[in-house]
Amino acid sequence: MDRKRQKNSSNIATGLVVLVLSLLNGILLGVAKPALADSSRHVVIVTSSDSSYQQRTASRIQQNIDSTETQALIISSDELTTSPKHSNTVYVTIGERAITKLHDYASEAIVLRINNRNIQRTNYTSAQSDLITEQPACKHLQLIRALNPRWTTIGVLSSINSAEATAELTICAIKYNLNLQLYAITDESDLLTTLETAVENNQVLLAIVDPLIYNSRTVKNILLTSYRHRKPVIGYSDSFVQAGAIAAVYTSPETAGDDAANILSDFFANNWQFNHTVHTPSGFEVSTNARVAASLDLALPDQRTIIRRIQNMEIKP
Amino acid sequence: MKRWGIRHQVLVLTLLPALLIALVLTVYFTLSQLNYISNTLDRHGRTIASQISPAAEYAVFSGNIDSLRNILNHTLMSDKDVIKVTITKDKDETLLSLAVEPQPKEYPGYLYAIMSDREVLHFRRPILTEQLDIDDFEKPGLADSNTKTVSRAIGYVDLYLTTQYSSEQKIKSLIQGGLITLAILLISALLAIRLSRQISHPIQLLTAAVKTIAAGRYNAHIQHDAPGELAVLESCINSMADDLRIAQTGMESRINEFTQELQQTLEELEIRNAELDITRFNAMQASKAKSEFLANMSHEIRTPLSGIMGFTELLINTELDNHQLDYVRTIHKSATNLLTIIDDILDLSKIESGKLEITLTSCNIIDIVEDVVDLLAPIAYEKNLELFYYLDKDVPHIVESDPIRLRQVLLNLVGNAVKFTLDGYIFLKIDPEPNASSDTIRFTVSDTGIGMDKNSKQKLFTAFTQADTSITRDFGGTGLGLVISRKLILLMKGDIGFDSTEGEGSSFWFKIPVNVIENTSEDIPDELNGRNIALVDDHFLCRKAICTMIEQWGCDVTEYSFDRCFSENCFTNCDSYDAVVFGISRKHMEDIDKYKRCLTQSIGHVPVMTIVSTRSHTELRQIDSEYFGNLVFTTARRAQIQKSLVNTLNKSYSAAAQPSSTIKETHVSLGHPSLKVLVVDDNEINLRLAEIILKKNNYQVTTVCSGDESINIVKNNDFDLIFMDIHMPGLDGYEATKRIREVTNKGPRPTIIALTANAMPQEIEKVESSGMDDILIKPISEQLICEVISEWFSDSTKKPHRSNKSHTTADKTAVFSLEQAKNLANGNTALAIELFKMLVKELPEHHSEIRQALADNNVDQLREVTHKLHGASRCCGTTALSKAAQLLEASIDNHEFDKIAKRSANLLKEIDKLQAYRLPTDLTTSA
Repeated sequence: MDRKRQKNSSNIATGLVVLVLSLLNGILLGVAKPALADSSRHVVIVTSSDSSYQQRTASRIQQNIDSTETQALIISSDELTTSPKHSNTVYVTIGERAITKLHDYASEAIVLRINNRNIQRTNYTSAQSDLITEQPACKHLQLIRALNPRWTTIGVLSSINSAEATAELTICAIKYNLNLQLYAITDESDLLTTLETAVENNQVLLAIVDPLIYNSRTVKNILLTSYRHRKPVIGYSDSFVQAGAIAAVYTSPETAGDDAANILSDFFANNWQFNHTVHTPSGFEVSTNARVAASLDLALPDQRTIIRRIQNMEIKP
Repeated sequence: MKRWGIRHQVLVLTLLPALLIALVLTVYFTLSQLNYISNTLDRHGRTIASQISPAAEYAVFSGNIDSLRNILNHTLMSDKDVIKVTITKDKDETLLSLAVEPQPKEYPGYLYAIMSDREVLHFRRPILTEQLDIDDFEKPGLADSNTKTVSRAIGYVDLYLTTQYSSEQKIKSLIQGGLITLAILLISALLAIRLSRQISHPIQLLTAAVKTIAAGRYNAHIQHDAPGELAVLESCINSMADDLRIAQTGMESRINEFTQELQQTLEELEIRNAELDITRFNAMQASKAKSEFLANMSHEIRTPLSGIMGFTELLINTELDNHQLDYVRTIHKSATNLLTIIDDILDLSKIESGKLEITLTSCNIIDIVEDVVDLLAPIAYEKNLELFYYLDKDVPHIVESDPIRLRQVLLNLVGNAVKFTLDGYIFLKIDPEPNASSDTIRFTVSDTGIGMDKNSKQKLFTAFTQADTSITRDFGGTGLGLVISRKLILLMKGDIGFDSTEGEGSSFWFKIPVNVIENTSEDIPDELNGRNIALVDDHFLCRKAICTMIEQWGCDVTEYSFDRCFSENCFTNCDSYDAVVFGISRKHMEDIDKYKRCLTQSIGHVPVMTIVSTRSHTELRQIDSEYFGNLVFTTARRAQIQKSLVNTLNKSYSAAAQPSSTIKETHVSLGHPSLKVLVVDDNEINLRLAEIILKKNNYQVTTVCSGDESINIVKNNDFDLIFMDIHMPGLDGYEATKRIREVTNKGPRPTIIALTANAMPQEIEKVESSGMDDILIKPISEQLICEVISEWFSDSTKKPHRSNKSHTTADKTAVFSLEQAKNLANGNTALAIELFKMLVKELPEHHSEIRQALADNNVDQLREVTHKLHGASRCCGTTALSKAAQLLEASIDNHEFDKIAKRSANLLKEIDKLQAYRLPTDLTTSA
């Protein structure tokens, strides 16, 4: 009888221990899971708008970066405040709004900022980097030379917003022996007269990213004014070409997405350190508007020829 | 619409919906079109403005006026509705404004105002800068497609459109719509007319065919080949026409058969008719023979009877012993009865043959009643019966009726009452028939006679049957009286009846409708007005009758029976009375002394008038007038009683009133002793009788026994009066009269009285037309002769009535009746004479006018003159002239042209008579 009691007591004790250990394991697992979960990388891609370019770029990034180790999430800037925070998170912002929102949400967050123009040049940390989708200034001049080597006088309207870009253009113009004329605009009311001066005195008008000068309201009149003077306008985006520019060189969203994914891969590989503060696109696309060219009696080479010519100029400046 | 023909109905039913639909659709579509034009213009303006706005964007942006001008010019040139375009910058700075003048208006200005309330439409659009997306990076995606893009206006386009052209378009649209509608309506109308014709034409043909068939032409066939139901109708009508034709043919053949049978029957009927004509002729001949036989028999029987009666009357006045007197009276009575029987038979014969006519003339009811009472009172008093009459105050006195027949009926009824009453009284009551639709007088003869049992009542009014055959033995009579009376009353459009209780008495009544001429004929003296009279009579009915009569004269009457009077001692209180009227009946005649004693109390106080139930002067003289005052017969004339009462009130006591004539008391002294009379009669007896009667009355009499002799003697002698027998051998009375008139044409005109026993109407008419003045029915009597002489030659204001019940034409043939003239002149003799003279003065002119009208055959002129003369003569008592004018006027009005000549001649003769008539001397001088 006593043995049985002792045996039973032993069994009970064992069971209790197992039970306690199970409980502890569960608790630990519950606690550990996030730790285990936190062990994977999170990439939160924050878009500023639902523009096609941004969504394609975000999708490209996600497509390239999403794996078992890295979880990529695409959210809009408005959803940022409600998204869960993770420790191993890298933010990728696309557009200026996303940058602002993220800064307000988590100023110390690790962020890769993708934008069509460089808006911040200072206060970079190791956890911040920029990818500028806008093609370099020389590319635009290469485009002009590729379209028509005879075009040597180029007019450029600029304002204080595009000062850096115009500086680059000036340097590049010298390189390619082009006569670059800069026309400063301080107010939109000066646009017409300055524009007319620019198109009258130059063979082609090169548009740069400058919202003060080139925006949805002014672009039509700029184009019409130029074409009244039968001077072509070189744009900086595919949309610009659709609007009436005869050609433009730009970065496609896929290229931007690939470049952003590469930067992140390097970042993760580099122990979460960005190699550079500003990245430029690795590739370019060319868009032309044959109808506008025909209207201006201009014969444009085909796109492959233009690209080839630009590539050749890169090889042989 | 129900009265419209089929064609009209089809037209209306076809056109009306089309019209309505056309109108509705026209209005709808026109309004829609107008609305569309207005909306189009509005939309057009908006569109142009919307198109100019973006087109002008760059030009406004660039300030390129030329470009703007091109745009605006293009707009103005491309659209004529645009009359002005203005481009302004955002601060209302006008960059450019271009305008054009619209073309001249094609229509009047008011139409444009109707079509549109605004001449110019204004549209304003902002010139917005177009937004182009050039930034791929921030280019909005699909999710942002609904985001509102705010564009900035850099200027405005002000576009002005004129409504002139749209108004013109509207007007044109209206005109076109109206024209189209009219065209549609016109086409609809044409179609409707065609359709209605298609429907109505076959129906018209059917109608014409049916009319033709209805007119009896069954050969009418319709061959129009109308469609549908009309074709069925056509074939049915055609088959109906065929059936009718067959039926008609069959009927015609049957008719022919029946016609042949009918002709045979007609031939047989003609034969029968001829036989009947012969039979009728024979019957008429027999009837004529019967009438002639009756007339002849009447004449033949009356003539000897006349002799018998006349001579027996004369014999009675001679000295005879009692037996002889009794025998003569018996003979006279028998002759009288026989004459009565003959008269009754003649009357009945005339009635049954329809030859008795009722002649309506003016007559006095009182006179007729008093005549009857006067005649029968002596007979009644002989039997110690009381006889009195009661005349209701509401009975008119002068009425239009047949006095002869009325008198005849009354005589019959009262006579029967007197005959069949052994004890008591006979009471004649005259009063108006209550509740009658016209004036009707009721006569009731009540008696306390033997009465009748039931069987007797049933036999009454049946000819030749008396109630009881024993009556015939006891009372005599033919049984014709009531039958004749009934027939006469029925001829007078009245009614007759009776009530009787055996052993208690009978009450016979009759009522006749009359035309009232005057309600009263009495002149009531002023002395009677308001007088207080005590009437004492023991007989209730007699008292009632006398009281009513005296009250009608304006007196206040208090009635007393003997017992009441004597018990109340009314005579001691007589001071309140102006007079006492005391009635003594037959039965009280024996106690006359008793009443004398009662009356002695009032002697010298109140005047007394005593009414005595007697007709005997001898009995009257037995009553002491010292006590009984003025004495008068109960059955005296009203005028007599009135006069006596006046005398009583004036306290003048006169001799007993003279009664009217009886059999014994004969003639009225008329005062023409120099009257020269000619009697012409082939019967010596009649001749002799007339001679005696006339000589007895101191007339100068000449007698001849033939017509020829009368003419000869008249040639050499002047006669005032000629009694001419009608039926004489050789020259009859008619012819003799005509010749006498020719002979005496230039001299004094004698009065010719026809003597005849035949009182048939045609005889009377013949007498009138022959030129005779009057007619007497035989048998003649002294009284009759005296009456007729009095009538023609008397100066008395009241003519005595002839007691002869035979018909006379005195009233109708009177040249001038002063009494009638006075009645018409309201009793004024002078006026009556004056009117008469005036009429006579006018006669020559009337005579001439009538002759002229006859010569010219101018019926209208003749009627006018006759009518005038008729009216004048009716007022003057010239009854003969009035009657002749009336007959002629009636002939003209009734277009009885065959009678006009004869009646015109009669009228001329009456005019001649009247012109020849001489008024009595005293009337001539006094008038």
